[in-house]
Amino acid sequence: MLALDSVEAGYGQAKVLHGVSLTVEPGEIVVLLGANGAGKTTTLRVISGIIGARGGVTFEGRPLIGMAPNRIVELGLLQVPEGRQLFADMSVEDNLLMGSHSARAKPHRARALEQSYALFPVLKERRTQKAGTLSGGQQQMLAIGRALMAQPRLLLLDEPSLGLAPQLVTAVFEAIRRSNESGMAILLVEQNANQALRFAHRGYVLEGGRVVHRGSASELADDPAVQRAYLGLRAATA
Amino acid sequence: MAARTAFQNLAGRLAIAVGATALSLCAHVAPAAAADPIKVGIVVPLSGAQAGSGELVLRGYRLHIDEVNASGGVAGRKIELFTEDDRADATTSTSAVEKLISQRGVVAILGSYGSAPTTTGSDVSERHKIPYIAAHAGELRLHQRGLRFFFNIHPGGPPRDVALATFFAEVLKPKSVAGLHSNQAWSIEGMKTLATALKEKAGVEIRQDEFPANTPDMSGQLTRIKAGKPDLVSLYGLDSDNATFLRQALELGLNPRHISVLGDVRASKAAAGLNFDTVLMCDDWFVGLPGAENEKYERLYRTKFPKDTPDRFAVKAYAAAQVLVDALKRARSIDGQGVRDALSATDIPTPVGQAKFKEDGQRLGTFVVAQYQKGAPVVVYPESARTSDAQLRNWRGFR
Amino acid sequence: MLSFEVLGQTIVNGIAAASIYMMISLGLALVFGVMRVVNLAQGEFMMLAAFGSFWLFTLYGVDPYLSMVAMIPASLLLGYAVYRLIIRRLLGADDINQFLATFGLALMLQGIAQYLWSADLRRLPYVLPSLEVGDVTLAGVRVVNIGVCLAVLAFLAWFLGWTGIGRSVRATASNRMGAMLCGVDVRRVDATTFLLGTAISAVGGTMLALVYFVYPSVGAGLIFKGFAVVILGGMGSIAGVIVGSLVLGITEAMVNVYVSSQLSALVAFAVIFIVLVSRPQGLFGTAR
Ligand SMILES: Nc1ncnc2c1ncn2[C@@H]1O[C@H](COP(=O)(O)OP(=O)(O)OP(=O)(O)O)[C@@H](O)[C@H]1O
Ligand SMILES: [Mg+2]
Repeated sequence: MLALDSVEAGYGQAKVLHGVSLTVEPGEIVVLLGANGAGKTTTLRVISGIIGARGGVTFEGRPLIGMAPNRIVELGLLQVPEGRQLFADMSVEDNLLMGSHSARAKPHRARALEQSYALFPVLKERRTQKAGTLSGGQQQMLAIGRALMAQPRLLLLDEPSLGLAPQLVTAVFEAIRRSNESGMAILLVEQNANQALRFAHRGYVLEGGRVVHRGSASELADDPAVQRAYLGLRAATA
Repeated sequence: MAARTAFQNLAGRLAIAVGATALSLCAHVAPAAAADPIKVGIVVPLSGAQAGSGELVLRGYRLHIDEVNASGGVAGRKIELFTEDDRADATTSTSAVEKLISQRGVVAILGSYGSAPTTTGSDVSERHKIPYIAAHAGELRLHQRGLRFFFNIHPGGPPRDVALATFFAEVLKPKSVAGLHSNQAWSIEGMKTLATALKEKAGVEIRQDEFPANTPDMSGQLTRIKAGKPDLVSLYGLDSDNATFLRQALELGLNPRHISVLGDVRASKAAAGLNFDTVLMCDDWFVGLPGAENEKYERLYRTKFPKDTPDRFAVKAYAAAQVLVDALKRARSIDGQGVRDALSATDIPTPVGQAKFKEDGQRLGTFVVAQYQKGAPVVVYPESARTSDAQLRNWRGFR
Repeated sequence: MLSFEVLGQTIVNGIAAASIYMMISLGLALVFGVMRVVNLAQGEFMMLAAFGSFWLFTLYGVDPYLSMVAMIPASLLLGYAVYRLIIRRLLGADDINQFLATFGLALMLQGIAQYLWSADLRRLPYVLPSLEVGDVTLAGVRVVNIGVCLAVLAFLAWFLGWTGIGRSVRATASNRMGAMLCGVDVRRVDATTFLLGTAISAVGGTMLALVYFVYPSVGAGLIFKGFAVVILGGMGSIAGVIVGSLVLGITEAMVNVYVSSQLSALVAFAVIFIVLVSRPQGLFGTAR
């Protein structure tokens, strides 16, 4: 479905990705692990067309490099970005409606809005409130809800659990799992490796802009090197 | 030092001749007269915001000089004009005059438009002992500098202010007067003189208000004036200010019995579409001013520029050129000092009245009050120049 | 002197001035809000439209309110060319480069206008009957200007609040990256916003021609007021522009009548200075 082949990218002179290859198959949950600065967010930016890159990026056989971000969205490839990137001074409902901006999603807008509200009832309660006034957890729900409004076929999530209280993390992961069950493929970037690997099918570990480990979720969870990295990460963030 | 060879001399002369030809082409003057022309410099704004007025001033200068050259020049010598653009800017005017005198070797300067460039330009010409004749500079302090080579066709503010005050006192007899002046020095000085004179002659105070020159909006001032319910409003401003005043007075319902402005109220393009009838105006010249000299001038002007109405910019420049040519004819020698001495003894008729200079170089002039009647200005004051009685009724506004 | 009549008249004068300030500031604020580009040539769009209406009236007797509408498509053509050739390339450019490019454009448009029509001050000789409300006289053209301004605001409120493209404009202004990730073609939003600003300024140009002078550098004088308004209202906020314009217009009118006309010209300077020193986010903006 999604395939990256030796992708190189960076910001200005600074090269960040040095040949990243990965794939996501239909219906899969794939997790992308890695320490701070490993290049996870950069990888997602390349896929969404926010920054340029060299190498191959294809979505259902179609090359994405050089394609404008809005056209990539039209293909059903959505991202819940790092930092959420909500429209802080617009209402919750306007944020959701922006999610179904694409021509592909617009016809199903009313139903999608209902589904989002059903998934996150708190958003319905606060539909007229400004997005910027929501709590961190509610903002994350809104970010996910907004992406789901586009009826994605592949959803990229960049650290959706960051900064959330544990019971909210569970709720967010639950929402992701439910979306996946309805057939949506998912590429999840996480530092919370333990929890991510528990419900992902496969995973990749990124280090210094290169894939250093790959395998099924259980293989990775058992891999001593991944465990070290995960523990090291623990130590670093503690 | 080694003797110069004949070849070097010849080459030098050739270079100068080629250069001079090129320069004279640049300056757009008529082909130089064969026998040693008299060089005269003109400095006027030909670009920038005052370019429109500057063009007319230049037109006035040229009109007379061309006339003189066509009839043989001054004692067989043609007058050669060198024109510089000073953008009506004080600094640019300095270098323009410097260039005309040191590089072109002119014996006199016909001056710029406005007091600022005239001040700096005449300072330079004074240093070189070359006469500077101004046509459009009205500030008092121009003549408080003790210059000896500076002459001014503009008779200055006080004669105008006193004439206006006399007219108000004798003819209008207002009970309540509002004075509105721009923030420029000449305007502030003038309103002060007017107020003093009116107080003296009629015992009436002028309530004064100020606005920035060329302002697009006087609604604040007019709101205040309207509240005072004056029966005369006297405006001291630029042409565009006259237009703004009338336009906004109309909009805001300010309709005093008498409205008086300086200069021809129709002069500004911004006044298009207004009906000026009954508006009073004060100046030393108006189109149609009675007198043989002006009739002759207006005839000449209308033949040369059939599409244009004679304006006050060109006529004063024309008078300045007349004064200069007259002095050149009488001068003991055609150089700065000779021309200056002749100028100080000037006594000739011009379209703007008799030209005769006071000790400080300013022309002794008389002012008249005119009024638009049926779309044309007529002189209503003083008695000696009057062509029609003043109509004492309210201004009606737009056509 | 402090009569109710004078006060009322002064406030009305201030609102009439504010209606013009709004037309230039809305353009500035919209473009800045969406693209973070300060368009110093916004005033020149106004100036060109003012000349357009002036000449249509002077040469062909076209009613200025008709020209006001006719100037919109004309300004869109010019605006689109300017967007394609200049503005589009300034996204994310250094402030200084933005300033140089748009300032250069402003000077060029002024130069062309001066070459074509000279620097003379002109006025569109068009008048509507004045209205008397109590002791306050309302100049006809100014009243209509205020009405046009309200209509523009109503249109803008509808466009931004109730249309899909308007929502995309707000979203792009709020978070450009977020909008891109929602599938918004932000370049189209940029162009739309720029043209919207251009059209509003063109309408403002005719309003200007009806009450002010028309001359090549009229826009340059106004852009300064536009800055004062936008800074006062918080960069890029529409509500801030409305309040900022009213505050500036009425303050200027009050200072003019009750203090001094000389000081009135300094109000805009003072506003910029005070706001930048004391509250850089503007009176109504929130710190970003
Ligand atoms: N907009 C940017 N401009 C320049 N450099 C950037 C930019 N964004 C990220 N970088 C740099 O690129 C490298 C990779 O960053 P990236 O955000 O992809 O890492 P990450 O794996 O997502 O890290 P984190 O876990 O902290 O989110 C880092 O060195 C970072 O400093
Ligand atoms: Mg990241």
